Amino acid sequence: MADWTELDTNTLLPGEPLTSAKALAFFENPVALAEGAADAPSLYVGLAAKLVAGGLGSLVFAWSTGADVTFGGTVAGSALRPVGAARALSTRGASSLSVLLTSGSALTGTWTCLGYFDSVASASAPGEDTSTISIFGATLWQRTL
Amino acid sequence: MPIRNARFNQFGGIDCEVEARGEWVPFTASEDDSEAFGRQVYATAAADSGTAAYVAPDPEPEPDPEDALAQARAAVNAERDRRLGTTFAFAGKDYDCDKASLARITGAATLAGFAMGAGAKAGNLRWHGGKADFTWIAADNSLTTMDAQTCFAFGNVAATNQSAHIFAGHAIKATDPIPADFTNDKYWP
Repeated sequence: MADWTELDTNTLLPGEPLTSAKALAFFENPVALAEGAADAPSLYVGLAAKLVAGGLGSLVFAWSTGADVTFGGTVAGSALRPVGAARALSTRGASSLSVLLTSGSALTGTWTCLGYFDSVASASAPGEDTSTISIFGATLWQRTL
Repeated sequence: MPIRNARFNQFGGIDCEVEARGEWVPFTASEDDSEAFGRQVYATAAADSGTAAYVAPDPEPEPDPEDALAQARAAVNAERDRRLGTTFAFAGKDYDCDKASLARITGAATLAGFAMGAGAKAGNLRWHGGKADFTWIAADNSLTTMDAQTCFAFGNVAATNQSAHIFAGHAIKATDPIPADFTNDKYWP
């Protein structure tokens, strides 16, 4: 693990000697930053401050207007619609019913699938029973470009 | 950043492919993108005369009224058949009336009619010539003994239940338009 060395900017003024201690700090400080060394500025704080919904690195739970997408696949943001998830489904009576959760607007950039987007899955009852059920998928995505 | 296959989309952005880490990936560029490079891709693609204009997809064709009517009638038939496959009430009990049950009921009622013609008396539970009382199993699995007269009436009620549903379905299909809530009990016997 590299140590973080705090440098006084006054020691970097013209005419100040470039000591081996300063050179070591120049060499080790970037490593210490990457390793999250004690006293080093947190890279995460800087990244988190820049992270906005829909921005690079952000996550979204959404469905795609296109075909199925496997884990790691990419889609253009215009195909994605942010959506929530249901915690329960309830029906009564014999009527055929359909209900959809509200979706958000299309996104920008490139998004990588972090689950498996299955656009629709259906099942039918056996025999003469005409009952069918269809579920429409949504999954987690991360903006990677 | 290399860009190819750029085309305006319906949201005012540009769908394209950009080269990243040696491969082409789908990308949506927008002048409102929170990422600076997204706005740059948009500016580059928008300034390129090769970027295709947005073309709206062909509208969905209007459904054929005849097809819609045929589908609605088929749905009414399905509901009628579903109801006919459940149970009917006779003398305070519910009895199965699916196809197999109905065939058995019809057969037994026919035999009961012959037995009555041959002089079977009311209260005689062995009118069928067997060594045990004539018994029918209800939907709740309870047993009901029947003399020939009762069995004949049982068959009549089953047949009436069938025809009542068939005519109810016919009435629904003759309605213009066919009511959307045709599965409601108010339309059926």
